[in-house]
Amino acid sequence: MTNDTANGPGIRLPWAGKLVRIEEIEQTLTSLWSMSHDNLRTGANINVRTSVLNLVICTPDLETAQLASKVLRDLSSTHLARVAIVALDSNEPVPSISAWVTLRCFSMISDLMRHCFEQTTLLTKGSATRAAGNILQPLLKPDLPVYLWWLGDPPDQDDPTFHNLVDLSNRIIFDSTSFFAPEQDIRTLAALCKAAPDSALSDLNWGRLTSWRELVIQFFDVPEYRPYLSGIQSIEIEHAAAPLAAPGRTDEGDVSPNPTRALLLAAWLKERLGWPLSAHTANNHHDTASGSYHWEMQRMANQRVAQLASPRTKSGRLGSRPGSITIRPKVRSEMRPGSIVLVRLVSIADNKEAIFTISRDADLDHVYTSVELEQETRQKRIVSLTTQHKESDLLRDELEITGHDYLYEQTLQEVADLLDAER
Amino acid sequence: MPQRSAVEAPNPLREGIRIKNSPEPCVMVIFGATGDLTHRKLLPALYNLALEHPLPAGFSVVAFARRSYTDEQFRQQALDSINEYSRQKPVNPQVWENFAAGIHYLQADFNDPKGYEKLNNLLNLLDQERGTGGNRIYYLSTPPSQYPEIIQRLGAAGLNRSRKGWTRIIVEKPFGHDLTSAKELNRQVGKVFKEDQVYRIDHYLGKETVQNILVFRLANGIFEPVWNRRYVDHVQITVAENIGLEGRSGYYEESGAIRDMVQNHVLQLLSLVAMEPPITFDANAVRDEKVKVLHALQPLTGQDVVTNMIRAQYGPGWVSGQQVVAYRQEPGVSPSSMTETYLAMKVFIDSWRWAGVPFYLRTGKHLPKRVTEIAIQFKQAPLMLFKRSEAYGQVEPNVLTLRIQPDEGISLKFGAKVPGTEMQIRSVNMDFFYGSSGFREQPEAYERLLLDCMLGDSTLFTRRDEVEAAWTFIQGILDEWRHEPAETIQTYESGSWGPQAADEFIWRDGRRWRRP
Repeated sequence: MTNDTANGPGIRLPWAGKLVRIEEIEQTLTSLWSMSHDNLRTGANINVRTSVLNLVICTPDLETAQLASKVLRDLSSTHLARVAIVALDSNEPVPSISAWVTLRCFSMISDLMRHCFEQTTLLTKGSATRAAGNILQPLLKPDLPVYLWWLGDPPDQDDPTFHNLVDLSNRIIFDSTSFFAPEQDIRTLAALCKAAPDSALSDLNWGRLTSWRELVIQFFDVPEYRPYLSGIQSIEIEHAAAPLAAPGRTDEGDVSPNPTRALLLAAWLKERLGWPLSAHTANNHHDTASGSYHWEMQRMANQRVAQLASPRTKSGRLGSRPGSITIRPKVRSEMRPGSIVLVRLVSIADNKEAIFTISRDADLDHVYTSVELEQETRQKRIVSLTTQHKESDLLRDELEITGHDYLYEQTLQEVADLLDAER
Repeated sequence: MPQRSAVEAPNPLREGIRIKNSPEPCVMVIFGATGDLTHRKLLPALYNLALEHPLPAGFSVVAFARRSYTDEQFRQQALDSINEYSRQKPVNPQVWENFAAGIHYLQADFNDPKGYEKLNNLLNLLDQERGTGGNRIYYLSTPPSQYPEIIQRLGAAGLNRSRKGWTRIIVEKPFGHDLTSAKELNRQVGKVFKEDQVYRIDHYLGKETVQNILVFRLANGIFEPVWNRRYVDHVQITVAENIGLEGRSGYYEESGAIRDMVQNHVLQLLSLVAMEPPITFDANAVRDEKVKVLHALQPLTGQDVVTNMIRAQYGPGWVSGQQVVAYRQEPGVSPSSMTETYLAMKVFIDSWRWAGVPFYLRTGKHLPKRVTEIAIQFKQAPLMLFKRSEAYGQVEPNVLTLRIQPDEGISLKFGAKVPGTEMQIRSVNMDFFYGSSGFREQPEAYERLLLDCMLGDSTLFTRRDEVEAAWTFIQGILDEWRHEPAETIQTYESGSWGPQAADEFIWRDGRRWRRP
């Protein structure tokens, strides 16, 4: 039996709204809407009820829940219908459930018109956390998809709370940049992806890579450079690390080193190029503590890449030469750990070398791209990446996707395979 | 089977990605690059594309115009324009520096063959230095009278084809000023460029909400079954402007509302609303269906032009808090001008779907507000159950409104019972606000269209036969107007919704104009 803290004085959470009993949630929301309509009648504003999706946010504590609640301020354009923030505190010995409700409205074009969505905040303690899925069921708007944003490390697959939440969700969103044990956690994600094929999986860190992937792709949109795609021999990626003596959290709470972004980028390229791991593993290197890796690869390009090779290369030794992927940390105190610092692709086509580089220096808002052909450097350019990193932007992008992001899910499996490769 | 060359094969890194397509490196040659359109729309659109980086490295602009500027002078003017008109401000200095490095100014007369020689040399140089691969877009941003000269010179200089890469030409509206001139322009363009190289731009089609008309109709199962004469009473399309001539009196005197708005924007909206579902969502399939609507328009000739149309000019009045003069008092306008600034008309589409359903179209300047919308008014319920109750007379027809601008969205009006013991019915609007303005900025229409052209997607551009079909309909009206006395031009007060005659015209049918 659980204690309902709403019976007593309860916790006051001004940001979460009114403390209510679970059974009073719907009624309270109705009365909040009614008050909002009164505002409409008095001409104060027009509140627009939006209804595209349910968003469930799971956090380990109320402090994180409040931070997540702040992010929602920028998300009203996704037409959230109802948000349920669930703080899961399973360490408390006494089971209890507390609930708060509020109607959140944000200005659209002017103060005259505002987007509104309903927000319920639940604090579940002790064994009540296991019932979170059941408690949420009646609180979700019918006929609308459910997106689950899980903050923190992914739980074990057999975690009953998580299992129930996954069952009611159409999409599960993580952020691997905050994983405390990045390698282990990414393996857990890959396993989850296989175990719950009906739920689409997302990672905000994959979104952070979008601009980088686009820049890599753009190199080979140039027809002249396309043959170099099949000639890529080495892939080097550097990720920012904090100047810490040992792996751990920075003062800002970031985990360092966190090579997940670099791993995802490397795995995406490996998959696109169709490279299998080489049987020669003597030079392979895998250091979890520093976040540095090296894999020898077999350059057996798949058909879609092989057709890009020049005739001379095709008739020659495609597939007989080795390739490699190297990931290493770079101490950059001004950047958040895990940020990509450098991507370099070295390629040879028709005996000509080309180096494709994307790099970032102290200017955090821009990256530099260049193509170095033998004896000349061409197409240096500066690209703005300013708008790509806000958590709310990344989350909004994920909330706009309705189906599976198969490329991400495929890449995730590739990362797991790379991490499990023989050293 | 022979393999495709590396150049032809698609970039395999693009497979499965959910990011925007990026075009191949190319050069955009803007003829008339010192003009208003270039500075207000084209350069800001290109800069925004560079900022949000779907534009590839090496993308270059050649500004071709008569005035004498250096590259640096033109770049400075471009920067000033982008600072003023771009939706992304302030200009990002690093991105600008990079973008500006690809802008070149070429001073030449449009009729000077040497100018085209210089252009050819510059394009070849850019291919070598910036890797633009022989890909060219020519943008005609000059007065339409210059189009034939430029097109012919491009052909004579062999610039209409590239030895490698692709060549496309974007033609700005107006596409002719009547049917004969439109056909002649098409003929001249067709002599030099193949139809699949020609992109006739109507920026209305680049608007998100215009594209949403098709999605709304064809991606939802519930609307298409009622989208026909059995259920629809009539359709109203409104394209209203609160502005006046904005210094374009010379152009407007020649064009009037019928050429400025109806021949292109209004008929494009009409086509999208009335067309049959295409067999696929590709450029030609969509345009095939649109052109059928234009062909099916019942011609307005003879007395129909008098009874089914109202044309008017604005008189003095107040608009948006400003006192404004009458059209004939505007600088550059003839005091005896017969040019219409307002047009209301009723048209019919002779098809199984729409036979007998009136489409009321209206457009005008100095109307109370800037608004573009399409309203589909449905027929009343077949049996009125509430006629003996207090609700009698309160039931209004359902209206589905597609708002194109400014508050993009969709509204459905339906009747609901007012809570209480009495049977009182009130119409309520269920609103959908598209794009959730304010948080995520939508790209400008020109950004979308320029990018589509670079990608070779002509779905949102107008095809030759579409232009000619639209002009065929309009020409019938123009021919009748030539024989009409001056008194047929009404006057309306600036800031009103048009002349009284326009209201009477629709009242005769037992209907009324919406107040958008």
